[in-house]
Amino acid sequence: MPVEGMVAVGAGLAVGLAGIGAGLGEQGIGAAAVGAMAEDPDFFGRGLLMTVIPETIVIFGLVISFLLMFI
Amino acid sequence: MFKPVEMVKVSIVGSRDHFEKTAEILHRLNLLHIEDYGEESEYFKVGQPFERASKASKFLVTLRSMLSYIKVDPAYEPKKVYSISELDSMLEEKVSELESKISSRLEEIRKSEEELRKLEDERRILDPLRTIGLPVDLLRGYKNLTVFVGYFSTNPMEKIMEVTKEFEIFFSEYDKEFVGAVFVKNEFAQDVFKVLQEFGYREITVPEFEGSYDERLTEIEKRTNELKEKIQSLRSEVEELEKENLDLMLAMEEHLTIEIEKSELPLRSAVSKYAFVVAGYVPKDKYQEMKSEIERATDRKVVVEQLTDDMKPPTALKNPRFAKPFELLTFTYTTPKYHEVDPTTLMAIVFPLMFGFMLGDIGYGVIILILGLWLKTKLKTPGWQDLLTILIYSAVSTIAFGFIYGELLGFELFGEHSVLAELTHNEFFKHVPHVNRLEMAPAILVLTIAIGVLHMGVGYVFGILNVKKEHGWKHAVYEKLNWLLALISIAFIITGFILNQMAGKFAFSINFAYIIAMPLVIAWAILTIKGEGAMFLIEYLTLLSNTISYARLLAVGLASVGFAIAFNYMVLEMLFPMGIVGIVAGIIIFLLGHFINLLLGILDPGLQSLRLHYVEHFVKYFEGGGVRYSPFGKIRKFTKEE
Repeated sequence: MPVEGMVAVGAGLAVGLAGIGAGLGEQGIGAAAVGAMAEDPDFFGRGLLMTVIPETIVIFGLVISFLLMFI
Repeated sequence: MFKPVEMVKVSIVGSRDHFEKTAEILHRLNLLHIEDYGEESEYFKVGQPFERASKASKFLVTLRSMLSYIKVDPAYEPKKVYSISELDSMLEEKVSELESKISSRLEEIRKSEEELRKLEDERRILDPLRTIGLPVDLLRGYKNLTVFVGYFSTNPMEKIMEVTKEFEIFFSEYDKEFVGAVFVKNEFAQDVFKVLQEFGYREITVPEFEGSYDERLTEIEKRTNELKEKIQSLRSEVEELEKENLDLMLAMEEHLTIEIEKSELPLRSAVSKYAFVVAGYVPKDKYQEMKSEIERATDRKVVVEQLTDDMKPPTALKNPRFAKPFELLTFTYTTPKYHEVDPTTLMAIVFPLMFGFMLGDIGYGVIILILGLWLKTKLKTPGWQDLLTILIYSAVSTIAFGFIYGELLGFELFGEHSVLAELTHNEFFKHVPHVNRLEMAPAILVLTIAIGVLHMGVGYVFGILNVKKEHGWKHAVYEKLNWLLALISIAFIITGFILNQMAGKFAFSINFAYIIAMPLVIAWAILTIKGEGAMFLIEYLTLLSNTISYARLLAVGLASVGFAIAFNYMVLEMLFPMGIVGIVAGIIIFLLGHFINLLLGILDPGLQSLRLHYVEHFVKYFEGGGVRYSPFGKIRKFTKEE
C-alpha cells in the first residue's frame, strides 16, 4: 500500500478513535448532568459545560489528522 | 454594557400608621429589591401580614383552582382591562357567583370521575370472577361460612386438607394465574387464610349486585357511557363559563395576587411596636424618584435614606437593545455577581460570528432566517422570543459568511469550476474573491487558533478587572495576568511551530517565535508558583487544549460542507443520469439530505459556539453566583390603576 493511503487511514483513525473515546467519556457525565438537571434546572449551564469537556479530545484527533493530511 | 445597573442600598423607615400606604407606593413603583429581614432583636421583629391578606388569599385559592382548569396561553391579551375600584366593588359578589356556578360543576365532574373509576375497577374483576363459574350471589353473604375469593399462584387444595376436610374449592386458570373461591367454616378461616397466603393469595372484593355477569357488564357499559357524556357536557359548560368570564377572572386573580404581595410586605421587614424598617436596593438613577414620591405621599412620616454599606447588591444586567436576548444565555450559565464584568454584549457579537463562521452557507442561512422569523410570530413566550432572536442574528451571520465562502447548499458559487461560472459562462463569477473552505483548510485552522487566543485573551483581561476589583492588583497579577502571559506564550509557540513547518524545518528548531515565548513562559511559571503553587503548572496543558479547542470552528463547518457535497454528488452525478426514477429519487434524497444537514447545522454550530463561550471563554473570568434583581412589585396586565 502506498504511503499516502496509510496516512489517510491514520488520519481517519485519529478522528474516529478520538470520537469513540470522547463518547465513552461523555456518557457518564451526560447521565449525571441530566440527573442533576432534573433536581435543579438551574444546573443546565454547568451541566452542559461538564458534559462537553471531553469533546476536546476529538478536536485533538482532528488536528492530528490535519497535520497528517496537509503538512 | 459590561457593567450591571448601579444600585444603592436604601432603608425606608416610618411609623406603622403609614406602613400600608408605603407598601402601596413601593409596589406600584416596582423598583425596590427587598433584603429580607432575618435577625430578630429585642425591639424589631419580623412583621405580621396586614389583615386583609387572609380574606384575599381565600378568594385567590378559589379563583386559582377554577383557573387551573383551563389552560390560559401566557401570551393571552385581555379584551377588557378592569380598574381596581371596579374590581373591589364587585369582587366578593363575583367570586361567590362564579364559585357557585363553576365549583359546583367541577365538584360534580369530580364525583362522576370517581364513580367512573369504581366502575372500571369492577369491570376489571368481573372477568376473573366469571371464570370461577359461580354466580356472584353465591360468593358472598354467608353467616357461618367464610369465602376467600382471589388470585392464586397454584392450587392450594392439598395444603388446606391438612387444616380441615370440611371445605369446598372452585378453581380455574386465568391469564397465566389461577382464580378461585375457597369456602370454609368460620372457625377454620384464620388457619386457612395462613395457608392461602403461602400460595400467593390476592383477594378480589366481590362486588354488590344481583343477576348474571353479562347483565352487570352491560349495566356498567351503559352507566359508563352516561357518565362520560355527563362529564363531557359539564366540562364544556365550565369552559363556556370560564371563557365568558376569563378577562374578569384573570383580572381578579392579578388584583388579589398584588393585594397579597402588598399585605405580606411586613413579613420581609423589621417591625417594632410603632415603627417599621424596609431595607433593599434601588437602581441609583431611580433613587431620587422613589424618595420624593414616598416622602411626599406620607408627608415625611416615612423617610427614605441611602445607606453606605454595599454587602451584596442584586444584579440587573444593562445591555444595549440588540444584546438583550443574549442575557438568556448568560443567566443559563449563572447570574453575574454585581461587581463582575457582564459578558452579554461581547457574547452578542461573538456568538453569531462563530455560528456563521461554522455554518457559512447562503442557502442554509436564508432558510434559518425565514424559519426564525416565522417561528417568532408563533412562539410568544419571552424565552422563545430571545432564543429566536439569537437564531435570526446567527442566520444573518451565516448568510454573510456564505458569501465569503461562496457556498450555497454545498455548491460552490464562485471560482474557476463553480456552478455559477459553468452555468452562465460569465468570467465575472470565476474571479469573485472568496475563501474556499476545503482548499484553505490549513490556513483557516491557524485562523481559528488565533481567534481562540484573542477570545480567551479578552477573557483574561476581564478576569484581571474582576479580580482587581474584588481583591486588588496583587491577586489580579498572580491569578489572571500570569495566565494571560501563558496564553500569549502558547500563541508564540504555535506560531513558531507553523513557521518551522512552512519552512520545512524540524518542528522544534529554534526560531524567533520560540525565543519570544521563552521569557513569557518563565514569567508565567514564577508568578504561578508564587501565587497559586507549583501544582498549577500542569494547567498550562489545559490552556493549550483550550486553545486547540477553537479548531472546532473549522471542524464543524467542514463536516457540514462535507455532508452537503456528498448529498449533491449523490443526486447530481449518480441519480440524475439514471432517468426519471433517478430524478425522483434524487429530489427526495436532495431534500431529505439537506433537511438533516440543516437540523445539524442549527444544532451543532449553536451548541459548539455556546460551548466555546461557556467552557473556554467564561471560565477565564466569570464566577457568577450573584443575586438577580427582582423588585417588589408587578407589571399589571389585566388590571389598571386610576
